[in-house]
Amino acid sequence: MATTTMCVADPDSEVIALSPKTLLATNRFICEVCNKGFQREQNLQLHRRGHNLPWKLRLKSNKEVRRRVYLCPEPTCVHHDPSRALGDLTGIKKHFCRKHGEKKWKCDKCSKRYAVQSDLKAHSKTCGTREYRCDCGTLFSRRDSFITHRAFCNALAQERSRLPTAGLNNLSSHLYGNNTMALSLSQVSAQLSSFPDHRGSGSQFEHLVSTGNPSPFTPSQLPPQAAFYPGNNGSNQGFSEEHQPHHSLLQSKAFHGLMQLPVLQGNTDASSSTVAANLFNLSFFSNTSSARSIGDSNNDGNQNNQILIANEFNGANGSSESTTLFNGDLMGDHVGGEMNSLYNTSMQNESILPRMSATALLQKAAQMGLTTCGGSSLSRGFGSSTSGSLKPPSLGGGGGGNGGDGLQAQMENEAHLQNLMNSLANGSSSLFVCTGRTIGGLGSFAAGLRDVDETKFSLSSTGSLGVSDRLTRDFLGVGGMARNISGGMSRREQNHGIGMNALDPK
Amino acid sequence: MAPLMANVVQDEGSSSVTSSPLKTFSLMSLSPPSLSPYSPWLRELKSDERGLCLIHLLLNCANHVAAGSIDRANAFLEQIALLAAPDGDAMQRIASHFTEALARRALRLWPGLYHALDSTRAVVLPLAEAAAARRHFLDLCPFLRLSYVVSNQAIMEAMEGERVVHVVDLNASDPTQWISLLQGLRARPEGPPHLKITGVHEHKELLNHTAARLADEAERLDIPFQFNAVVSRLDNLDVESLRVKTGEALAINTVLHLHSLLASNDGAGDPRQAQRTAPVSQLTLGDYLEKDHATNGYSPSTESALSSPFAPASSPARMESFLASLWGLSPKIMVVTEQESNHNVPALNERFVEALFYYAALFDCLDSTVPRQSVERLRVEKMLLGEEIKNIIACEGWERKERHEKLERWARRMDMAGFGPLPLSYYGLLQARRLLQSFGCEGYKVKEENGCFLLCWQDRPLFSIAAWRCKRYD
Repeated sequence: MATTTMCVADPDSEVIALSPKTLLATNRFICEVCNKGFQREQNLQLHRRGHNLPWKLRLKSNKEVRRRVYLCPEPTCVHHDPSRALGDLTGIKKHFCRKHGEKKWKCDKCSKRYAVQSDLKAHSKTCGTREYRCDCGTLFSRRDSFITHRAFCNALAQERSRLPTAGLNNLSSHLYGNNTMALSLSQVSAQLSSFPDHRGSGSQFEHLVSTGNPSPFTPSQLPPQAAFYPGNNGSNQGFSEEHQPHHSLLQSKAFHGLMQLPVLQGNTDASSSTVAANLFNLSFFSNTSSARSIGDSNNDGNQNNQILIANEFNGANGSSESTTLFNGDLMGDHVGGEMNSLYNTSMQNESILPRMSATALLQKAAQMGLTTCGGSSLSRGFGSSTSGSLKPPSLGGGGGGNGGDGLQAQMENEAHLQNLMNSLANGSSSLFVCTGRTIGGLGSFAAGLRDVDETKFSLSSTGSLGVSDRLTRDFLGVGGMARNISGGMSRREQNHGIGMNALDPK
Repeated sequence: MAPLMANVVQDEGSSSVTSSPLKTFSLMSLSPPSLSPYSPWLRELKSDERGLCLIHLLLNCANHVAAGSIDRANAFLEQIALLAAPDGDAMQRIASHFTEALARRALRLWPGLYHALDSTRAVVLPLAEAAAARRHFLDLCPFLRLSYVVSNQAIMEAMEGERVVHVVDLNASDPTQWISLLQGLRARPEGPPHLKITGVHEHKELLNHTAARLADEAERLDIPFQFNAVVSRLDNLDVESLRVKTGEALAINTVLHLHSLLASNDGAGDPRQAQRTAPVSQLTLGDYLEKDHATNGYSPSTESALSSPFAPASSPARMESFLASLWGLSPKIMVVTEQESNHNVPALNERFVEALFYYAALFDCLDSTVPRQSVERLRVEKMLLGEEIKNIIACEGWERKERHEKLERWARRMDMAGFGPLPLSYYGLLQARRLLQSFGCEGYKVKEENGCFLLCWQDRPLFSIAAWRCKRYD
């Protein structure tokens, strides 16, 4: 459709604004006798001959006709503006239908709908003729979009990740496959000749990474490259079998290159440790929203458990004091035994669970409200490492503590005592699980969000509280609020924490 | 309150030491108990608890160092020394490097001591060691390789159809990226262009090595090639020496180096004064400005107008003039890879925490993918990451070169300098992900955001790659 820029191109064009009714009208020319509709006046005239009515075929006028441009009647449309008018009547009709009309025409075979009948006709010609189906279930009629999709498809990625070493073999053999079978690539002869040479294979790998495609930017080149992606498992196997010797050749030689396969030993170490890590980290990552909701509800339970246990101890020791100070002290002195047993059980759990990563420890520490009495708190870094805009991780104390303003250092320390005692003493298993949730939550937050609002965690111990109040919503689901001097638990809040649990047994 | 504290302190005799190790550091923010290295509970500590202990100790220590109370900081350093180890688990290693940084920082109060310790160290950090450490980093982690692949892809796309391509590498110590580019150019359907690479580096030997390697490779691939060595520091680089011809198709590439130009004379001098002169209120003002910018988009005039001597300048003069001179060369593309973290805050506390989180992720990454006893890993941690940490924490002013900033700020800076964003292509992302797959370790991710890529470990972005084009007559 030609668009005319009125101001510059043809200021003499006649701008015609037709009403929607006119544009949609299929048959504008009606026979007065039988009311039959015609799209063209010529056809109506010829029809009138049949009624023995006077007819006249209008000849095309000799004088120069002013160029006509048409406007779209829809006011929100770009083509409503005379400077963007379309030059063709049929064009404006189709445009109006497509963009602003109802999609009345449906394809039989698939669920596609069209507003213009000719679009549907064009579609039916190709519908169902050639189909590519990705493992994730998406259908493609075009080969290139199919291939591009496959490279990014989540389903495929998950499959590959589940079989790390196998995946590695397949992928490396794919790349080799790419290499040997990319006959259309211009460099293939050079590569083939250097293949047996182990240095050559190294640089080949480099080469592969950087020049997987002769012309990486034109989509037409993509198919030959991507054709060597696993079409199906059968061809996969074929590749891997064929290229197994090459693969081992690669692995056995050390080389510098852009694409170095990590040493096998290192690789297996990595895969074993990371597989374990995957259990706790990546599984949360992949299911963002579900993990979050699960995490929230479970964390509630965990947190409450911590507090409940603390209460039990208190009760067991006959102490009715609910101040943090005494709690801490009691736990230290009398409850040492119980705590040790808790430690033991948690240690047993820990021996099964993999070690927490440094990042996880930092998150846990921030959760526990580990701060110093100078105001530098982990909240800042914590927020920075994730995103600030959505719900940042909670910095509530282990017992859902609430930071008050202007706490004195002593209170802080007691708070530390309380929090550390609660969190650590009451089961490192929950410690780990909480962190698992934390990481999961983090994963969902951090995914795609990277801008940090440092403002939310300013140094000021008093000024920023308003800001951080709003933001440090407890994503663990426990009603804790985080402040920079967080963790301070007043008597009131301790009661609140315990009371909360009494009301909310989990 | 006081009696209780006394109570607890009393209990820290040998009898209750075994009962709860956690109690011992509950009050340590004020006065850490004197733990003997032979305390039995030390051995009982599980790695997680030890990790949390370390974090607590580190934060407190940093706080005291920032406030200038060196005695207390010293006490904490002693405690940390019992738990930290450069060959332990991730948290232990992090602690050992961060405490070294903190110790150096504390030493700034005695400038004589500080510089005496530094005098044989700073200038003559063995080149070979540093280069070896970087090579190990290249091998052990995919980040550098990802950057190379993505940058090369962007450059090749920008240079499509050009007969002569001029690439300027602002930190040409590693030929790997350009070897790969040569190979990529060889495979172009229209044939390889004439390639000129101008490498800028401080040290002649590294440049010579790079030149030789690249010349060999170009010879092997039969690509007309020319290497221009410019021995210069980035901060006194004369762009004329780059010998960019007018109208030449120019690509500029910088990997983890551009931030060094952000070093300026802020906060140098008496560290105590430096901390005091960044008072809380001004930081919140600065934060408020940041927030303002975050919500309103960038308003460069406001930023520079409000940059007092104490508030962080968004673009120190040196960076501005450097970018302006680069802009004057009309590059077709400029690819910048930088660390994705904010280590350029004036306040030490904030910087410490940011750095802690950032390097925790990096150390974790190494811990998860490389065996503990690996010498290469130790070298990377000590000579590459450890040096960065030391620079971030212990240095100020011109000395502090590792001024990492987040992509958002880089974007604003580039925009102010007349560069517009050049989105990285889908195909670049494809290649990056493919590289990761063949690297084989789980946990790495490449994320795309606004046309830039973020290289992540466990969803924490660690590096950003972005491309810019010269805006002219827009």
